[in-house]
Amino acid sequence: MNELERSAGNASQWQHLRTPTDQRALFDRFGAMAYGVILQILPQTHLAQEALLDVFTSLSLSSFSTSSTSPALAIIRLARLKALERKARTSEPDAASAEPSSSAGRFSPEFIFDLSFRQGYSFDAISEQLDISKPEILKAVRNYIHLFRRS
Amino acid sequence: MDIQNYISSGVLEAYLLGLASEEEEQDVQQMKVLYPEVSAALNELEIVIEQYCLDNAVPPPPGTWELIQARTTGKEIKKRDLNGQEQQKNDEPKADKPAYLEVEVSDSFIRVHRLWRLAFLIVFILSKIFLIAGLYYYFKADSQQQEIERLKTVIERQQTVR
Repeated sequence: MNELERSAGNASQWQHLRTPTDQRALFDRFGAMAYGVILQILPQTHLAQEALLDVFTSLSLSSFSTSSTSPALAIIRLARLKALERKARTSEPDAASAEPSSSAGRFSPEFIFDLSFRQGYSFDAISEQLDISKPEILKAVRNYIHLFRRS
Repeated sequence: MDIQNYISSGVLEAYLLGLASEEEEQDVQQMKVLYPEVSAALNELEIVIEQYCLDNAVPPPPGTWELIQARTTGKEIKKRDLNGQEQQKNDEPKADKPAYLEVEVSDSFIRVHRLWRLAFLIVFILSKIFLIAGLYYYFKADSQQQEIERLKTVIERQQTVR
């Protein structure tokens, strides 16, 4: 059984995560993945490490045992959330980075994904700023994921 | 509703990445229960997204786990401390509850109160003062002893001459 099958399979095994052993197992399995997600949002390593500590000491870590999604997905969401929280606490939002940088008047799926996932802009904010509809944004996020899948 | 259109709309990806609104999340959860196609698509997407993140994984800096442990232990102590205070306010302490905190120490470091730093400093300075004073009085007594011996020799010589 590979890593993906193991984590996607049974969420109930992650109940009672507050015990040190389970927490350690979780860190060993998903620590690098969470740190990778955090670094995409916070490139500064000292801040990224702080955000990683926030993830694995978070009380909401245990709540995903009741979640319908896999532990890996729950960790990815939590890592993103904690990284964005740290980013908001340590710096002002970078307005310049939200400027469109597309080619031929269309916004690339990667750009949309970057704005929503890495920079934490809501779909409404992106829609307003870039003057594109919400279904188009959702489509761009989907295209980015599937672009990665094909490569 | 056209399920295929719904699946390909991108809302499932947004839901799994935590980008969807609460309303959309509830909608996806309902659709997942109602339509096996949606559930299957979600399972497939979970693997794709997880693979994307695994491919971008970066090993955490060394010592991160120790920091997590230290922070978790700190939280546990604080939590128990607060509970203890509330308990004292509300009712009498129960006999079966231990009056001490169990702290799991798995490394070679201990955490002490910052006042101990001052105590260690005072003990260090006092030990130096006593060491210097001890050496001073030892050499002083030694030189006095030598002086006494010298005077004794002089007196003996004078008595011999007489």
